[in-house]
Amino acid sequence: MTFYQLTKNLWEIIDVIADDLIATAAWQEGDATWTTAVKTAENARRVVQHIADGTYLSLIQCNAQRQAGATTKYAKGLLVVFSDGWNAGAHTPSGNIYVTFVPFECRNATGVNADLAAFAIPYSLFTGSGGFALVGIPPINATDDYQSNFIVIVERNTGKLYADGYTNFYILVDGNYLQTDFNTNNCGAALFGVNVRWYRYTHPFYIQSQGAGVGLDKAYSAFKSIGDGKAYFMKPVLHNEITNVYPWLQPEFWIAIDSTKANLADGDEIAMPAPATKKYMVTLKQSPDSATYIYYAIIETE
Amino acid sequence: MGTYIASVKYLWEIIEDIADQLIATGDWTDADATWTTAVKTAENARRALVHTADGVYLSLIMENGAQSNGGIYWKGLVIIFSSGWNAGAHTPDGTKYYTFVPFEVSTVTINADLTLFNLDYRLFTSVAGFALVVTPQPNATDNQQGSCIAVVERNVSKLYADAFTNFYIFVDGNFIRGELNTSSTVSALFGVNYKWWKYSRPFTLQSQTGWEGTYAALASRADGKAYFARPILHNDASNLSPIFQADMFITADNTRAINDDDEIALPGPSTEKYQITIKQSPDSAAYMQYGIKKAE
Repeated sequence: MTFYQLTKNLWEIIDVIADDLIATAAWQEGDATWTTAVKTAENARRVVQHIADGTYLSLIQCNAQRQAGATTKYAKGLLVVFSDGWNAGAHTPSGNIYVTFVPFECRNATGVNADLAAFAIPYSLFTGSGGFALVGIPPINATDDYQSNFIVIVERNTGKLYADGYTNFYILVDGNYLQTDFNTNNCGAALFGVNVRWYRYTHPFYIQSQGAGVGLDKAYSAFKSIGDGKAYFMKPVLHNEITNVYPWLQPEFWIAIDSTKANLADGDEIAMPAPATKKYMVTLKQSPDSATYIYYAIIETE
Repeated sequence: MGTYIASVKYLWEIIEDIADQLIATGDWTDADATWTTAVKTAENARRALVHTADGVYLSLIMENGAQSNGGIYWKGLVIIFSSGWNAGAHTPDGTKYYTFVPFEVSTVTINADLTLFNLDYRLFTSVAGFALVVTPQPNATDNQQGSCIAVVERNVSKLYADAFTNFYIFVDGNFIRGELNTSSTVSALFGVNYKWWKYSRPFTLQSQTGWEGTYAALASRADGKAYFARPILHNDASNLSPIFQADMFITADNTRAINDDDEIALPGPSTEKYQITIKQSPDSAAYMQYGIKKAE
């Protein structure tokens, strides 16, 4: 497992994630033709396969703007594709395919200005055999006026409360300024035959939902006690449907921070009591175009 | 261990049951033999106990007189927690925390006489205290009758040492008017005009906040099990100083497949059980949604 706090281009981050996952030996290269050599359009991409589960995770740099339906919202960002098959001839995901969009570089007009080929993003990243947790903040771009920070979690969690017949993975995508237009509309052309939208919560291959509490409960969000200086929280609860009556598992890669108590600061580290070695890094981030914060912590050590 | 009963009785009988059962645990003793329930008028039906180890006093009093706060009339159970006892005057002494359980409520003078006024109730008692849920029988005149929950718990699982007691008191209901907290009683009791406090933490805090339901119990449609987190109780009203988690009660969410009378049994080897109690009342269709301890 590795934790980074660096500044890199998105395609470089994609390479780091893919290479780190492969290095854990729980994953392997999904298709050697998928590289980040070409940075235009949606050509910078990597795919890895989880060996035990046989599922494929594709990470694609979206460097050609996608429009949210007929709205005036356009975005570039990261495309996360989860599939249970791979077409080795066409070099594309196959079988069941779930796509979610992370539209962080956004503009309220056509012509997203930033070129993600050379657009260094300060980020925090954890990678481990179970997946990754990523938080990024785009650098300021004067033209793109809806820039958002973003958090992306891809976690394989075997702590299921019951056997459900679906994968052990979930995907969480959020941001401080992500426009709902990117969920309520199809964003540009279909990708591998699947419509592209931002889904906040994805459980392949069963559910994709968008509402803030739909399919997931943040439960008891973290804050710092003024009694003993310790952090208290309950891990979120993820469900297998959107009315939150099918608790399925509790994530390990992220927790929610209490925005009303607000006495944990960005960069605070929450260390679980020994003998656990797990730590979380509090990440309260604004973005160039919004003073709103995201209130999360991502895993730092397992 | 502990004793659980679901039955129908008068409030003064329930007070007797609580007092006698707490004394029977061996951790409590009778604080004043002159405090009995022989006389049922006004505030005369009452019992007082002292927690032997902690030396704190718990008074349970049936308010059956003309009492009101802010123009809202009520009868019910008064709970006083005190650090001392005046043996001469036969009254609570020292630092005193009052709250009350206003189940019989009206915008005009109360009609019901609690001497002969049945309550549907559920009660758990143990060395740790008691958890009580009551629903009054319908009374055509009293127009704001509510179901109520009252919990008095001694909890020694503090997250850190503080200088206060091990007790908290929690009182809630499905139809408790805000005036009962924003205004004090028109009539004093032992020299004190008092309010309804949802949460009391003797002797540092009385508040409507300071407690959090955290993750209310739901019944999973996938595996049929209940999932919940115990409430978190704080030493401050801003919910920033968790001191312990409640053990005698939990919160419940009836929008998530859990129902009145459901029983939650914790996984073995634990023998703990909670009784879900989701109640409306004669004058309100709102739900009071809690679970109280049924077995330890």
